[in-house]
Amino acid sequence: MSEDEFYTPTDMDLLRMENELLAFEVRFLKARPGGSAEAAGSPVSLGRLTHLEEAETDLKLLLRRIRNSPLGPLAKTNRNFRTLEDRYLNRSDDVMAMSPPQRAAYLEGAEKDLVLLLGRLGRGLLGVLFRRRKSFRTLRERYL
Amino acid sequence: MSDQLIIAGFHRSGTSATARLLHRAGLFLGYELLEALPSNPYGHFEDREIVNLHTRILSDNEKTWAVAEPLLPIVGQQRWQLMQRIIERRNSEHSLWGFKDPRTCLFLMLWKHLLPNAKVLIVYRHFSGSAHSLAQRHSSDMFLRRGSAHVHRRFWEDPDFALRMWLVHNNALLAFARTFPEDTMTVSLNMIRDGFPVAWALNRRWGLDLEDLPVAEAFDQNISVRRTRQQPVSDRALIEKVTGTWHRLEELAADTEMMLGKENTVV
Repeated sequence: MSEDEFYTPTDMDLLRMENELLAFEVRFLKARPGGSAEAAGSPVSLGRLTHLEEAETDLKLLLRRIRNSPLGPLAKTNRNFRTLEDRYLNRSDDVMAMSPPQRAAYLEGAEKDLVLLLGRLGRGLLGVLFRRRKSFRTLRERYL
Repeated sequence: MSDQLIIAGFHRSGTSATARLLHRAGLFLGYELLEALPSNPYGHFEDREIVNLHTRILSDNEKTWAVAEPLLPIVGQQRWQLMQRIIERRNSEHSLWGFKDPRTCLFLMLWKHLLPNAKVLIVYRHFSGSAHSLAQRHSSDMFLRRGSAHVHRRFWEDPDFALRMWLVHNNALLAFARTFPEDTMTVSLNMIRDGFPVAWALNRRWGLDLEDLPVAEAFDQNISVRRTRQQPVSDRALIEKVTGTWHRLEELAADTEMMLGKENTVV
């Protein structure tokens, strides 16, 4: 792959995008006199929402990895694992149709499930193996 | 024997308005159409089953709807079977059917493989119009905390994101049009808004049995604003690519007008 395939955004790029977003925000607020964004959507802040979405993505990746690993068949015999699979890997359509408060609650749940899962995976004999993996340690540092 | 008409175009390019028009003209577009949203007040005219299928194929390939790099999708057996079921059901119940979903741009070759006689109506819009409209929709959704904040943010964290999306989707459409020129008709959003008789043109070209409604009846002039202002760009290498794609789309649309003009004078 040549260097032409890569591109580093400059401060000017970032400033331009920030400026454009601000212009949209001004237009958005002007179009909603007396109404705040929070009143219409979820009470969760944008920063928190982004963090929760990252937790949901990490949880999905972790579940997929477990499912596709040699431990997969064993994990599938566990009812808790099957519940998580159903909740996060098999219902992408429902999530898309959720209202903002429902979605916020769903994402909060995903973060809690991820914390519980990381706690369980880190215990016992298997936990020793998991903790050797850098990606697993990174997740633990991020969420526990 | 059924006829199929697929409406394909990038997001925010007027495909919903076009689908609305053809829906009223008698084109069956699906059993469960997605509901309207503020960004599409008359509805999307997208069939939930088709959208779900496309979303799943994208997800299988670790993508969301926001594809900004060329995609050669890997499609599993299960998905092929679902496509086959979708086709069989519609073929058995409708003499003319079709669907519309912007994700279709990336999957046209797959559908054509299963539906060798399918015709495709390509709808395109100027890149600055589509990019601005996408930015507007995602900024509003972000401020309202609606949908994925992560996806919304990409439009302001990843320079030229909407422009690259426009390029990928429209290049896929051009590739299809080059491969199947006889089964493709290209129109711009401006043409439709200015009264181009889409249903009539489709009937003339492929002998479909659509009702020839006046465009104004189904096309709200206030909804799609003509927008060809200067497009901000960070990666200047994109300029040549984007303008090249735009000119090729314009050439195809000119071919459509010329072809139908000629047919009209012969008859």
